[in-house]
Amino acid sequence: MIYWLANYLVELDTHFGFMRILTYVSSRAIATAITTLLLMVLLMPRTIRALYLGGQRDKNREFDAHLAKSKRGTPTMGGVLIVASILLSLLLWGDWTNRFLWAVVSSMVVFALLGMVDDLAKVRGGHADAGLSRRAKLIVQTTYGLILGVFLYHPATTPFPLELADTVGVLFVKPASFGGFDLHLAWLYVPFVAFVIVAVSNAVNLIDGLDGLAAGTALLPIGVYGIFAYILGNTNMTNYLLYPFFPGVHELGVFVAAVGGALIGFLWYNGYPAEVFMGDTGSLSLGGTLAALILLTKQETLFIIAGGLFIYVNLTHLIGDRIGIHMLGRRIFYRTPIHHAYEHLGIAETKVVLRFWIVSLILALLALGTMKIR
Amino acid sequence: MAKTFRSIRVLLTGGGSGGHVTPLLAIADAIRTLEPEAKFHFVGVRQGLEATIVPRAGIPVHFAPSTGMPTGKLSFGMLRFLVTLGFGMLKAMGLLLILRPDCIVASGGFASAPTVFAATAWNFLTFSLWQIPIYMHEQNAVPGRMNRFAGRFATRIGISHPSASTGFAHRPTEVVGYPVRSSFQAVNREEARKQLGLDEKTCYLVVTGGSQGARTINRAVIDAMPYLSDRTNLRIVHACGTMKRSGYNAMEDTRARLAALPETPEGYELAEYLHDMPIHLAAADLALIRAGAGSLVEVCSSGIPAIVIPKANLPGDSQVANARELASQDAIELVYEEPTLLDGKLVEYVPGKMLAEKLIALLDNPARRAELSRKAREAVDRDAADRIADRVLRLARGLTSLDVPGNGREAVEVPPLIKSSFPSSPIILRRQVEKQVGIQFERAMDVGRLSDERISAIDDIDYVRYRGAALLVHGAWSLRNEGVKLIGLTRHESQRILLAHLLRDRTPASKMHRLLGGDFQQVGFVRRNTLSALAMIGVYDDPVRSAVHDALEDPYFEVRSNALRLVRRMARQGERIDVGMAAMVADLTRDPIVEVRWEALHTFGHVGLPDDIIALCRPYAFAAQPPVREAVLKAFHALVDRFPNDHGEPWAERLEAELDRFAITTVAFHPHFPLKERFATLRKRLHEGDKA
Repeated sequence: MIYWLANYLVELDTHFGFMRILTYVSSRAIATAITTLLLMVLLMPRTIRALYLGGQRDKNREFDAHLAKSKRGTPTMGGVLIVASILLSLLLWGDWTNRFLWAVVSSMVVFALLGMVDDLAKVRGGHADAGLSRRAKLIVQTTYGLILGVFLYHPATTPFPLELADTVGVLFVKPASFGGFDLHLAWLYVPFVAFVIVAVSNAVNLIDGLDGLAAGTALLPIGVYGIFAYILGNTNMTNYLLYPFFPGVHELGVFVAAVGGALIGFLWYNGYPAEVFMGDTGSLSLGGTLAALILLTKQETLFIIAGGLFIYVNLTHLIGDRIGIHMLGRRIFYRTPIHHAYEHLGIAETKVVLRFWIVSLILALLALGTMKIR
Repeated sequence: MAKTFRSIRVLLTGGGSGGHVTPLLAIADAIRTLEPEAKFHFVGVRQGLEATIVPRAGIPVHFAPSTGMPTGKLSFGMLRFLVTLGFGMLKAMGLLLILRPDCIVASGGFASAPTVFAATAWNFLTFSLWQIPIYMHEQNAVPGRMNRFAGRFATRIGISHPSASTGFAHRPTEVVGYPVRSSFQAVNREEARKQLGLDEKTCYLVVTGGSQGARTINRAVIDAMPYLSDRTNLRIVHACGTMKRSGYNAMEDTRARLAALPETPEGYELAEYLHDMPIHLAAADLALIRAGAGSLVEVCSSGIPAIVIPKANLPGDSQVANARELASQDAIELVYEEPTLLDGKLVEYVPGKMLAEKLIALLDNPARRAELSRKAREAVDRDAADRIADRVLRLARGLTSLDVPGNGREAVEVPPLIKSSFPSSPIILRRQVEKQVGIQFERAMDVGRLSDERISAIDDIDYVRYRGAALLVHGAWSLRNEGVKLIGLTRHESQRILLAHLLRDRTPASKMHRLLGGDFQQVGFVRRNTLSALAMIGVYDDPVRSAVHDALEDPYFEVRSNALRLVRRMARQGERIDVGMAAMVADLTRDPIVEVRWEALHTFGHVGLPDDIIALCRPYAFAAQPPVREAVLKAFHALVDRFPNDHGEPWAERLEAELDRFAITTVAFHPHFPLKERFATLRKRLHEGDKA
């Protein structure tokens, strides 16, 4: 709303020329980050109380854990406030005519709702296994993925330049406009979108197992994609760095700033020992957000580096849990998801989280480093 | 409503074997009570049992040729089947024209096929203006191919077993139960005994595992023979069944076992299949049967005292549930199969001696037999026939199908034939037992041998023990795993030999699994949990020890580490640990898997000598993983516990020196939340106040 107001005033009279600053992506990004951060820090205590009294307490799988040592009873579903504060601050600072923003916000909201249904089912069932079935989740995720795929692919709705709608970004390869080549998937782009959505959203969901782990490790790749969005929406920079130019994609920079502010605000309370968990509401919506950012910046292959940690956690879980525990009847890793294996080896939770953050930072830097290698 | 002016005509069809005929007669009987004027006709096959039984019930029989449907697609058998069926249909069509029934009741089997198809064709040709409704009743838990196909044309399908509904996809079915006759016997007992040449004193035992046969029953009854040889007034008829699978040929296996007996038993008759089973059953003093709903209901309702050996591990454990329900009403004698090692393979088995003792006890006690007979009659659900009769009469009176229950639109409350109070899922059963015992299976190694007090908290421990043992032969490893857990949680001591076998069973897993990293059929989790179960049983004799010995060399790391925990538990309980085992423990401190290393270090503190412990732990004073160093300290603790340092022992000095160079930096800690602790203690105090 502030964006519209500023725009309106700037066009109304030259006296309001100074308001132009409120229409720039960079300044709005900073403003929105501060807004979400403040919203999180100020509103979270009330939210925690409301969630706790409303019965949204974590139900773990332990049978008889000693209360003084366990995290049982920590309020969960803090992700609701993450999503709410992002939406609120975007309402103030966002340009809602932008289709990139529509896509990413829809992804965040759909996955937040899915996670919310799951969280509520767990609380109602009184057991961590009482949530939605894997299949039910998968159906919803795939359906949304296909819808988003059509939105991005169809000429009438796609936010991308028409000739680039069905392309996939390949690491270290220049676009055709700069003498490289574009990888066109044609209609296969739609199922590809669904695949990315399902894979990435579940990846973030899986890593949410230790205090501050999901929020911290998702923050950095989301930040990387925010930087890419800012670059791809600016012809000067795309011409210099040899990237395709997507008009309007820089609005995602504002969005990413909102997410970043919200996550830092969340870590304020979620840092060890956590006062609140994000729950599936948070982790699934973060995953949906990250997946949408990957697709909207067309930096799909970059995720192999930027999201290396997520891929590691998921692959080990796939092998250790699906193949090992369920099929072969044996452990292949000490524990999965893999962060619990480090705990098994006697490394304290705080330390595991810190080390995962460091790895995530290194991967984020490497991902940014690929920018010049083309 | 013109039809009400004349008596209702019902056409019964089905047969081939007794299993299809007797339910039809029961239904006819029930209809007759509701509608005395009703007229019946029966259509069956000439070679079937119906030719003899049905006229005796006062119902005229007609024959329409039919044969069993051959398997496979195009063959001479198939052609013959189609031709025969065509003739049968023509004949049935003629019968329909002459008899003009108001309703057809089909009990399935190939004998009912001509009539059902003829009626279908009839309804089609008359555009359903002159419709003959078809009521089909399925007795089996899994419908046969013919019934599944014919079921598409039935107006209503009643089933005995809820699971049968899956066989009739997209067709509404109603669980109505298994119809049994209440007022008349198909065959008179005296007549049957005369026919079989039995005098008053002779005891007649009928043994059958159903038409296919049951390996457990066949083997048990032959193994029981030597113990029954002194019984002169005993006559046994044994229908061993027609099963001819690669693993088991019923007739051959039984003959071979019979030949291996020291003497040929007298008064024993072996048959593959008894076509006149109703006659034998009518004459029987005692029956040895499986616990399928059909045979149980038939035997019980005719008041034959029965020893029942339920088949284990069926979906929902249905046979065991049936048998347990009746046994709880004291209506049958229940004998469980037990998995036993035969030729290195785990198979279900009932020891012959045990069975013989059971038989003799019943044969010598006519009062008990009379009691069983009476209670058996009382125990079975007798309303099924009335229920079906109600549906059939409504159809016959021309009510639209919506008015007849079982149209799938309303829930019809029918009590299940036999109910079970136990969860059929082994996992839920295990969780229930864990709650009763108050210990989770994962904590087995911390708890060790379960106390009598804990065991006594388990409901019906005999059944749970049986269930656990039966699961050991299950095809799915995850259920064998639950079996192992149940054996441990119920402290089933006599099963430790089987557990030891599981641990040493080296049958390889499927190629696919091995490719992915699996090893044996008894997968890693099963072997690991077997050790935990052995800890809960807490009896360490030679077979167990040698299994533990092998487990220390197991390829799967969790088996090794759990074996080490078990050795530690043994040592703590004062069990003797021989030098060889201690040496293996010492070797495992160099295992490639760090989890095994730390368990080995800890365990060696409980089994080694002071100097050896110190020497072995020396390289690990700076180990990177905190649990390894913690294990070293645990080993030292055990050392100090075991060898009190009263007189300044020489090793104490060395230990002191060892501790001087020990790295105490750590990345492991246990959080402590004072707030939560105060909260918990307050709750606890409040609850204690309640009790006081």
